[in-house]
Amino acid sequence: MRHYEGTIVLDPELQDDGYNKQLDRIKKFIEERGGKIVEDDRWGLRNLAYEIKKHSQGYYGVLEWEGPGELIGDLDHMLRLDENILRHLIIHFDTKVIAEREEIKLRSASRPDLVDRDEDSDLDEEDEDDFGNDFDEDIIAGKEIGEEEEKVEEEVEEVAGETGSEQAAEEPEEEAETGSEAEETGGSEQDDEGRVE
Amino acid sequence: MTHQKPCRFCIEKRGWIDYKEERVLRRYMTDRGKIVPRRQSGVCARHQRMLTTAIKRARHVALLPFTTESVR
Repeated sequence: MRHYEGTIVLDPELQDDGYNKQLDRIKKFIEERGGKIVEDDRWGLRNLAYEIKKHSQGYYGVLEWEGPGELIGDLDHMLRLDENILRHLIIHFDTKVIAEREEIKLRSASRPDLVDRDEDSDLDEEDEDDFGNDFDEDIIAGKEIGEEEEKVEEEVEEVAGETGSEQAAEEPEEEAETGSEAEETGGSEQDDEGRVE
Repeated sequence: MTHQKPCRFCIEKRGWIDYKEERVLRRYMTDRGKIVPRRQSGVCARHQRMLTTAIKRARHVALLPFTTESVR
């Protein structure tokens, strides 16, 4: 038996009802073929990072199961043919990864893990939940990031319109603030500047 | 300063980076959606490899953008 995880993104037009039905169908399919569902995590409707078939939202479902490898080919085929499924991703976990994931769950319950290291302390509470639960917060975070980006870019455009070289020196600073929170931002300034031009 | 700071994932002793940890992954992307090179982020080679697969998987299921250009 091998351990798998599948993420399925469904058409938002299905509504909650259709979404749950569809996932139940997939679950049934796996179980019929000798798989055993270990986890069923339904995130619900979530914003997509980019449009898929003109949809900007999608229903996310994450299934985890143990089962034979022969099942995967058929499952993949089935998911591929289904027009309500915008995207799917099936991943095999080896035993090391499974052990580690358990460990992370335990660890994150006792102390804030990597996720929240330099974010506000109130986020620590969310992290005590298992993975699925802090994704609602992620959507919000995603939106915020998106908005910030837009603002920055607008500023940059305005600046570029007014005068060229003088204020161009300010751009990297602004972008570095909102940009990647990498610890060594040394090189990123260059990179940003290059892309602005 | 010759001593290099160990990578964050090494400190955590991580052997697996999940593509669903969107918040972590975003930290290793530029505001344009590119993957930050490890010369900038200080991530070690091993974890950078995990990070790239995780980001690419997350992109496939639209948790993360390929680029922010396409929106405009």
